Amino acid sequence: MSRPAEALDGDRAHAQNTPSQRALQEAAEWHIRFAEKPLPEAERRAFQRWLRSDADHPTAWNELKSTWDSLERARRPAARAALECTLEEEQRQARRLLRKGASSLLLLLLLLPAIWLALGIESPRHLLADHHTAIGEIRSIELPDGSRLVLGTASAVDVQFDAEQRRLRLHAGRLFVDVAPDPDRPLEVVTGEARVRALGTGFSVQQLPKATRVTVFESTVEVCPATGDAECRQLHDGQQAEASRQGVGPVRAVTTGPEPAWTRGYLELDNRPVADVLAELARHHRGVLRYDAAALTGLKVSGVLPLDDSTRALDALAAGTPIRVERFTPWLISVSRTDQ
Amino acid sequence: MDQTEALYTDHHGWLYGWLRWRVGSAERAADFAHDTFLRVLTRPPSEAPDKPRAFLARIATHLLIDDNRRARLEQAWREAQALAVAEQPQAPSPEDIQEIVEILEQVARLLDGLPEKPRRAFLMFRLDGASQAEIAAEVGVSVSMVKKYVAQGLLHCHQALRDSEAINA
Repeated sequence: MSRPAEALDGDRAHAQNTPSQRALQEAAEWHIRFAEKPLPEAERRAFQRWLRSDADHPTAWNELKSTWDSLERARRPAARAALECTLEEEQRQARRLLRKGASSLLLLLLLLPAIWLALGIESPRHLLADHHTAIGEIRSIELPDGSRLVLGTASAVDVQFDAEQRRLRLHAGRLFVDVAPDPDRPLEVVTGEARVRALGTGFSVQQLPKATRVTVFESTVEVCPATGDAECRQLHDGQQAEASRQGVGPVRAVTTGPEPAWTRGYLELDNRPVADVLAELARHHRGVLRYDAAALTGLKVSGVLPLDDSTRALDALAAGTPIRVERFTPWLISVSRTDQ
Repeated sequence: MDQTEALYTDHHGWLYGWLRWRVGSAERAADFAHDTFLRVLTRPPSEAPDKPRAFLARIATHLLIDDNRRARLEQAWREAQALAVAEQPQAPSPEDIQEIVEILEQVARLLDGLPEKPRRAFLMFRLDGASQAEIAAEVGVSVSMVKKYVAQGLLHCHQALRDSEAINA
């Protein structure tokens, strides 16, 4: 390419200064002219005149030349395609995030009270807890003693371990814990209604509105009321009970595997009322899932539903039961009965 | 105690936990934590940061973004390269790939913030040696607009280079 190499520049001191924006703009235009085709003699003389006409011009020309040259290495096959593809994708993603961010922020503001009410999340405490999950999120955490804690949707837990005891304080949602044995330090889960003490074991604790549901998957736990002197109860694997302010309720038998299906992102249903299933899906749904529980009385369903994909779960539910699912926005879903 | 050492002792555990939560893998989290402190060592802040955790998280976030971009660039280049030189008998070596991805990363950093049309015009002109008329047809603008775009691209890269030199100085 017939491009002047370095412009002669006698004034070194000046070269240290930053050239004016105008000088840079003109230098860029000259670079483009030289790059495209060999310039006729008249234009080359014009370039020399431009170069000499201002002390900024040689500096501007040289600076842009080094920028221009630094891109020489990128003149490779497929380089431009790779750059454009990547940068375009990044821009698309940024726009998507922005759009999503803006609209979900608005909806979030509108729905916050509803979500809080529906899920019982006490937001500041929820966010300040040692571990917390978002709606629909399920996370496995290894505790300092080697126990495995799985946090379910919209849950918050504080971990308080010291030399004497291992205490998990469940503020919201549910947890399953596979307890590492340690005879000197019992592991205890504390909620508003109950203290649940592991006697070497795998069990889950779920915070319901004003009650705590405990399910045992392996071995034995002891459930005591958080306050008052009502009696404690021992639960064995395959048993479930709910504790409230009034005490620990009756013990029920439940079908369990080695751990709850929700820890793997599934909901296992054995002849369960549709309204209960919708309540469960709603806990995992980022938004409002509306239904009239009374109208759904009597409808039951069995099967396995995904918890991380409410669209698929509701479609599957609608395929097997006489219900209709209406989606107003991804945030607002309404379920009604069709056979009445 | 030296400032970086203090940062390390006080916050390495926290940073690792934070990264673990972000990347989901213990091994990658350890790598990113290591690279973060390496960055602090090679470019120490002039004074102890006010909020050390925010400071470390910012560096780590940049590293995560860079890593993400590097992976994308490599993938895009492999795909484009396979299309462009289908007849080439041998696949590029790992060294070739590392070199080209590094170059692409540097160029991508220079182009950050340049809008799409000037970026396309500039890349076609500079990397492919396309003529202004070809670019005008491809991007869908006039030839005089192409000139403006290419100049804008060159000036943008120049500014980006100057900014990065100011940081490294």
